[in-house]
Amino acid sequence: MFWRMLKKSFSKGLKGKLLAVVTIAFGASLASSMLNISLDIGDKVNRELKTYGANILVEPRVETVPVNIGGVEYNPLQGQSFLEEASLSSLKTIFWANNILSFTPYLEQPATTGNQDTVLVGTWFNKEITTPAGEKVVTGAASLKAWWKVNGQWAEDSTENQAMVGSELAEKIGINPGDNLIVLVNTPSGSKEQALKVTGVFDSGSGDDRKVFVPLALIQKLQGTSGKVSKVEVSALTTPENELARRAAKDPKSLSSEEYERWYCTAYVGAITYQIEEILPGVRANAIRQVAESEGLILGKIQLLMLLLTAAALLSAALGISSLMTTKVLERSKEIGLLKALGAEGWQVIALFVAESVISGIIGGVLGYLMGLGFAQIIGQAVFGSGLSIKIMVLPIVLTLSVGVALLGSLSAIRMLVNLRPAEVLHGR
Amino acid sequence: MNILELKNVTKSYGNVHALKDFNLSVAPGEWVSIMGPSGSGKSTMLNIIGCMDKPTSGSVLIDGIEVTTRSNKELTEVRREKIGLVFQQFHLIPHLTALENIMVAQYYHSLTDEQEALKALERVGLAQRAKHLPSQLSGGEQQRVCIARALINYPALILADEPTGNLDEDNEKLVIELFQELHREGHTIVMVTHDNEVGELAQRRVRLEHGRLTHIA
Amino acid sequence: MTKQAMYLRMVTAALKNRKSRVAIALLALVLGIGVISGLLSVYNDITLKMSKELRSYGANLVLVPAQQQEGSTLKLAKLNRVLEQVPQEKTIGYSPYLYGIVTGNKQRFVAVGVDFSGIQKVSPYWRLDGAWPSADNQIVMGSALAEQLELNVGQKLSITAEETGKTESLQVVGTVSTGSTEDYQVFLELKKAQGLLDKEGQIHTAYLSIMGNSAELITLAEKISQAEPDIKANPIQQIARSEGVILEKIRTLVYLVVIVILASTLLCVSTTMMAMVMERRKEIGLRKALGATNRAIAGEFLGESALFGITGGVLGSLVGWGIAQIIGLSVFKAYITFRPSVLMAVIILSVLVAWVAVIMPVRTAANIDPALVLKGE
Repeated sequence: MFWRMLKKSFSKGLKGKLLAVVTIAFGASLASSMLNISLDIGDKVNRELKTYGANILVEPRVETVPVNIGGVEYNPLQGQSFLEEASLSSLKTIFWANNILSFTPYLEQPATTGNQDTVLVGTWFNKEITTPAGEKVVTGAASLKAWWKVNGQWAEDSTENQAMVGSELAEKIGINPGDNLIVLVNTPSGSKEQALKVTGVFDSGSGDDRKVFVPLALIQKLQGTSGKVSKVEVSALTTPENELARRAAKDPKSLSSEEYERWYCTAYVGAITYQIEEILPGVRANAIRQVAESEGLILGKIQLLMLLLTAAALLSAALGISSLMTTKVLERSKEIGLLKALGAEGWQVIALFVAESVISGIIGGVLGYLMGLGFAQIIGQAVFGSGLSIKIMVLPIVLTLSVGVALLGSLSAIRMLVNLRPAEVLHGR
Repeated sequence: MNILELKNVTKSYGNVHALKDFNLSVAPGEWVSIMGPSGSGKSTMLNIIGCMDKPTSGSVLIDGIEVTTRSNKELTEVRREKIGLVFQQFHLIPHLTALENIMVAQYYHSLTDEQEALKALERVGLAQRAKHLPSQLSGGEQQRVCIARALINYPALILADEPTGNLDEDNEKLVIELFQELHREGHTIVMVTHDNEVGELAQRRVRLEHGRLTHIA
Repeated sequence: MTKQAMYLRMVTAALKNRKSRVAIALLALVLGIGVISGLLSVYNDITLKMSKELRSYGANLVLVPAQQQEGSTLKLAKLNRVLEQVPQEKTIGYSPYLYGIVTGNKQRFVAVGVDFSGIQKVSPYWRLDGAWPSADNQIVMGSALAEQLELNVGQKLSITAEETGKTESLQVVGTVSTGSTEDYQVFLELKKAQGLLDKEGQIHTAYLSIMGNSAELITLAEKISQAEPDIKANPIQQIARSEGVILEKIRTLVYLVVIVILASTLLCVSTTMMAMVMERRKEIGLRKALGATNRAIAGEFLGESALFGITGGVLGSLVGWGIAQIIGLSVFKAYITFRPSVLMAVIILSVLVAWVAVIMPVRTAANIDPALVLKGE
């Protein structure tokens, strides 16, 4: 009989239930979308922050201190230390390999063109490398320096004499994309002229605008430093630093083994640089503080903001659902009074309504979860230009919320009504 | 001119006739009671007289106005102007005081006038309960407030549906006395009742059975 | 009582009657409106506050000599004149820089003369181990350099300028790490550096941290370059541009979240109002029997929901103010200013929500047949 009444209440009383289910669905969709966004936003904003540039610098451990003023190295070539270009692919084998979005090596060579002093920067543009695991990865300045505004084309790694000229320099010497450019370099074997084909002029909004970027192989040839690079910039997705990370940065050995495990397995910038130093021989890997810290700061703030918003949204949704359920039950007070007048026990009446609330909660919750996913995707596309990744754990949370709140809302009303005498309820006092 | 004139009024729902060829005239100042068992069509007829429903065929004249040809909006107007309603379940707005409940009828009609409403309450002997909510009044008192409300806009016709149906003996007496006073003052009353004793008090009794009229004295 | 007074009386009494039901719906409205109100307050301030936060990225304006030759310098006095061009409240900090190549402990490295209090404001991301110099014979050293020279905090170092041959004995009071070229440099008080390098009253560059977006920076840079022809001001665009992009995204996100919350609140209020109308079927039927037109009934419901909306709006603003402060303090560590415009907007929004919510219920009420309702049990 119980099941029959329950079934009837849904088949015949569907219209009334519909309102409840729809409200629960909307409340659940609010909760679901906010939760999804909150959980994913860290990752999304992190990727946005990549426009600030590389956050890790990898350099060889030096014997001679670099003498660098305003980006120009004053030490003679002999005094400089290098890294092996071939070893760079190992960067993609560290524990946090997936967080390394892009990296590119540099080799610099002072040069003059026209009457301007400048620097030739050898680098990768869009180089395909094979990791020790056999995976093919494309990385280089094109992905690392994504914020560059390029007039013309990016240069190719395979064509040695292609070049990209910084906008400041280009303006001074009157160079446009497609032009030919002659530069004078001081190589170990004497002063040499090098002809370059300018594929593009870039605007980086930084000191790089006074430089000329060329394929790495060209500089290696000019300097006779084949297979070598002087430093590598890495762009990694990181987790904002906290107390643990700061202690580890000072000295990883000061951590207990459980803390070490936690630190190593969290994408702190300090953990990633530590892992890079583990895998590449003789290097110093450091977080570029200016970028890394600010990234962490912004990320932290945005996550906090989202957390607060989600809490408020959840509360709002809960109240809305709860208020509706209370109203719906009070609406059926005559029915409750009648059931009691017919001899039903209090708990039997409660059981019926509880079952209804739970079913409404589940249906509404599932519907709402799906709708919420939709909203979250729309918001993700609109704000970040990419869909959000679906976090499975949101579904059980949203379901629990929907059912729980629906129950709470109806229970309080049911208990009140059940405790009244049937006569009062039937005749509406 | 008759206050109420029903000619050949029929109300059908498909093949079911709630009223069939019903005729009734009520002159000014008359007290007519309409009697009959449940299902006889009393409610239907009441709704038609009260301008809350229109007959399938026939003509209904209220104070000379033909209402069958009127729109719903115009029906509402006629009801407002011409008819005072008293229900069996003495419907009062639960969150307004006795006085305010009377003023609601004024509000939809023309102007609200607290003094007049108070006088109406005095008329039914409830002036001292003016500030009470319906939940604070007894059944009889509530019904008397309803009667005061029915009178406030000087209606041509007072339409009462089982006005004593929900009252105990003592309150029933009070309310009936009130109606008798109203009749003496010259109000036109049409009252539906199934209570013979109450019905006997009217000037003229009319009986409804299966939608048709049969006269009694 | 006049007719208007009667109207008001009916409308308020209706709401007061169903206290608990109205209260819960009101709470849902207040919270929804509150969150929206809080977000709107923060939305306005976000650009300002986040912009300030983003200044922790470091300098966004650099001053260099207009004649870019190796070793050309600026006069320090000119820098001070430039600073007058920039409004005080927009200047986060600045530091002049003077470079020189020196030798010390058998190594060759770069010494930089700076203004230490300025450095802390311009480059808050420098990680300091030890203390900042308080006397002019104290220095701060890059962590990598310190490692190379095998120097600890507290030890003394003697450096000799290559160009002038002058020597100074200085005490290392702290090490800094930035992950960039600073890690290999040594920093001393500007005056000391000027003396050491025979460049009294001169500097090579100055880095400034100014609040402002990309466009404002460009304008400022042009203004400075024109006012001081010896100086070229270059915005460090990379940072300003990225700032703009991120801020825009945050604002869009907040905006969209507001819409989602608004829709949800609207629905909750609407369903509650619908339920309330259903509950009051008898009352509505009675009013119609007493001669109320559908218009009059609609008018009463609009009045009730307007009152509901205004109450919700006022309370929501208070809640919103509270939420804004919580967000402001925990996220931006600053108070959010109260804006009367937001208050007005929120109350109007709240009433609109209540009115839109009541449309369906009013249409339902219009269809209520007094005859059916009054007779039915």
